[in-house]
Amino acid sequence: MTHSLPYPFKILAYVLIVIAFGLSITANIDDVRKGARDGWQKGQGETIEEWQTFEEWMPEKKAIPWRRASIICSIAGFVLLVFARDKEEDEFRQSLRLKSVVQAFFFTYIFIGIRYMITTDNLFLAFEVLNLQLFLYLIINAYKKHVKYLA
Amino acid sequence: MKNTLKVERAKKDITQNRLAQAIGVSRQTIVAIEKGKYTPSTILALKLARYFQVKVEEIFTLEPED
Repeated sequence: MTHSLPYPFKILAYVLIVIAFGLSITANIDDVRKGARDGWQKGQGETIEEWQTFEEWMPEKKAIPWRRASIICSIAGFVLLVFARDKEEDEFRQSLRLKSVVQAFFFTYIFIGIRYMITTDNLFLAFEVLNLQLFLYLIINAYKKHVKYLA
Repeated sequence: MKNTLKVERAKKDITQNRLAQAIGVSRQTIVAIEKGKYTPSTILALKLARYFQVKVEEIFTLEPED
């Protein structure tokens, strides 16, 4: 079987993706806290004065290495996930996997193009494009494996 | 390309799962081949032919548009 890494790399990929997620949450913990605070206050319909003074746990400068580490883990995890074999893989599953990569790539840029035409917001960051491709790859591959080709 | 894999399987009275295990592929592969959604490699085609003890051309045939 060509163009494939052994199955243990797939497990490593999932581990890296979970780590990337954790690092990202850590890097953006202050945004998470602010969001939770604002959401709770809005839900309760009140503003709590003590909560308005906000001590940052992760200042921007401190957050940068965490974000970089998250991006590196995310990229590495994505590459390994795409190119590592399934536990049981044959030629057909390999072709499904590689077709899913191509389709995820295609739909990512369709999505970005449509968004660019509709909104004047900032374009996607490279990291967001990568995550979108990963997300689409996971959905497309799962659909092909578990729905489309099961009798 | 069209194939008579389902017919050959019925002659031998085996399930897709059993055929897949015998050949060393997943059941999805057998399903995809029978539905015409996937053209197997030469090796896989030869394995199938050997399993059913027929020639490859008796299972797989080219269509005019191929």
